[in-house]
Amino acid sequence: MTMKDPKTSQHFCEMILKFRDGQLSGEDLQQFKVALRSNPEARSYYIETVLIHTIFKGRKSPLQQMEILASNNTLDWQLWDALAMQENTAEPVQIERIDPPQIEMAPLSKPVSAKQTPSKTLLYTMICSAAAFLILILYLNYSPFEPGYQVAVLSDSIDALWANTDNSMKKGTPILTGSKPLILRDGYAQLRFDNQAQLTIKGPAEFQILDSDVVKLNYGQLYSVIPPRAYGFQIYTRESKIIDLGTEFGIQQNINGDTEIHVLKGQVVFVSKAMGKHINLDLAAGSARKLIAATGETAEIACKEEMFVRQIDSASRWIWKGQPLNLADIAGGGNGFGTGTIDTGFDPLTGMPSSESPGTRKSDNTYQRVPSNPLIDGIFVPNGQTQQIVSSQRHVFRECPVTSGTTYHNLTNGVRILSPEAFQDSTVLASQSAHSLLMHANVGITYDLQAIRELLQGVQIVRFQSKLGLEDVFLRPALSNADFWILVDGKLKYQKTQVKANQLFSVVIELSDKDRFLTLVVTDGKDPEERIVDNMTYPAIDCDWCMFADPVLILK
Amino acid sequence: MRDNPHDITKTFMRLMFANERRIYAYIYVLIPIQEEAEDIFQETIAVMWSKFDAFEEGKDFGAWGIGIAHNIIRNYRRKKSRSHFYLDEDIENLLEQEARQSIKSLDLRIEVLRQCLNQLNPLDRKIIHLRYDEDVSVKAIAEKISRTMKVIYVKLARANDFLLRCIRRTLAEQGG
Repeated sequence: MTMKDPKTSQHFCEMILKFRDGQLSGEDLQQFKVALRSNPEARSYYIETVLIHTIFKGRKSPLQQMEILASNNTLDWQLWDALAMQENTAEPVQIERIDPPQIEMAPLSKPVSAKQTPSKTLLYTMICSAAAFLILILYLNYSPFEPGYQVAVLSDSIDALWANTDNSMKKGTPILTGSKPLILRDGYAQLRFDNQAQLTIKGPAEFQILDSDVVKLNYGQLYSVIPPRAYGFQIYTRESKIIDLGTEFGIQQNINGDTEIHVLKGQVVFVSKAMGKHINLDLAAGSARKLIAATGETAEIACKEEMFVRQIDSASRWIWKGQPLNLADIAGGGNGFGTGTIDTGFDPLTGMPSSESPGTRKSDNTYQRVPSNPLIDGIFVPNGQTQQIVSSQRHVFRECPVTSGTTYHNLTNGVRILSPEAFQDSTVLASQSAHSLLMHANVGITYDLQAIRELLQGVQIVRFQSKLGLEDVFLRPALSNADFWILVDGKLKYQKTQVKANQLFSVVIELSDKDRFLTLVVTDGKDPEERIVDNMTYPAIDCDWCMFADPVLILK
Repeated sequence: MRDNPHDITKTFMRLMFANERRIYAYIYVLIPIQEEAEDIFQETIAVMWSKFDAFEEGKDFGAWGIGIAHNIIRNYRRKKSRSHFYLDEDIENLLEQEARQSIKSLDLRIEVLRQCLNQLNPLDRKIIHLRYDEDVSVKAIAEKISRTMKVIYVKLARANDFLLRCIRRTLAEQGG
């Protein structure tokens, strides 16, 4: 393989790009590795490609300084149309001269300037010391702010009631720098800055956008997610300044001037001159401080992880404060945070929403898509007779046992009381209520983790956890017997077989960003189809009232 | 000069500004996942600062930082289970040696890349911008313009290849 041939090098480049996106697998991945291992040209090509990407990642990316890209508006429809119309296989065209931009509108976008440098300066200043603190104070106090430039957009809002913007604040509205405060009387608003910093504000709040990386919070609650490229982002309050180091933190600013800062990730510098007391604190993840404006003193307080609204999505009305996402709630048509309807769910034979209570039904093992709920990929009745598909990407549940192929009831969102004696692998002192996914055997459901990530952008799904077991039943508890299976992308991650009535087990499955589908399955424990009790015959699934209690995704 | 804490900070910052991209590039070659590369970069800066007393003035600050990053990456790998996201260790060792050499010309490449971008079709330039400046995923770009991911990868690969060839050609012409 020689990289001199453009076709070869372009193909290899495609492999590099896919590999770095985690999209290269199987034979392609092996070929890619062979090339890197055996061909110095391929290695040079790989390194040089990554170097180009590194240059773009820098805060002075050459692209950002080009006129055609002065706008960061990625939703420019003209552009998307132009891209869509372009020939799929067109060669990159070498042009004689640079044409003026044809496809970009020219919004009031602040030109990239030497202003970037102080932010970068701040990064290292923060890492360092009290000496640098002096430089910082000088910078903060004397840096001029230019009004009237677009530096962010209103990326989303829920029930936002603005005091002074004559109903003009809609999703996508440009946010300009300016001295006039924005007043959010009620609801939630999210701003995305050109440097990708994201602020979520909960009303009532008053704030000012002073610069592309400086916001003043006069009062209210604000949560900021600052990516590495926006290092040095600053939040001013009446008495203090909080300077970011690539972090996530929340600020509660009270009207009396008191400030609370809670650092959830990374590190910030907290600076205050209230009452003439100079305070300069490095605050790391998990720490929180309260500034008492009247005295200028600060006090250490507990960091409250679920105090701030971190992410919102108006389409699904998600308001995320760090709480887990409940999969039973989603099955009940909810957003995962408690808006679902109890005792509703899905018919596993059709994939349609249902609140009926059908009896025993036989089915083939067709994987039914669930068109009404984008977060649920599909649902099925496993029978183990033929290959069991468990996702729209046709992942296969290879370990699927042979079952009776029947099911009972629907898959339902419910609430159940868990008794302490049911817990088999943990000690619980009192009964507890659990939001539960009720799945009478035989049935399986697959959640689309990627769809969840897309709704809660910027949020990571780190694990699935749940209690699982069989409900305590009054009738024939001796017949209750079922198997539980949990799969990720078709791969078996957990199984618990021969679970009996009133038994509960805990399960934790770690998840990575690459995991796409989570599948929960319950089967009939391989019981015979005809079981005789007191001269009556009962099917294999009799009394297999399986449940996943508090089945949640832990988000970060 | 280095005794005054203020001067120490200024010296560190000056050296860091001049070398940060080299250090980050080294990490990014070996750690494909951007978030992990950034975490390691941050940790590298913190270690460099804590050990700055031991740095001898006049030595290559970037090479020193790369050495520290190398150790951090090694420790990091021990903790992480390997997946298809990572390359095999023998390949990483080969890349590691060659990356140190290539990174020396990084500053030169930045200027040349700017010239080469000017020669790129504006739409290809924009798609590169979306992917690498704005971190828009290939999937999102594909969905937005109703194309398959494959088409977007082909487009990106062509544009990347064009830039890489242009940089090589220009550097050769400049005797670089």
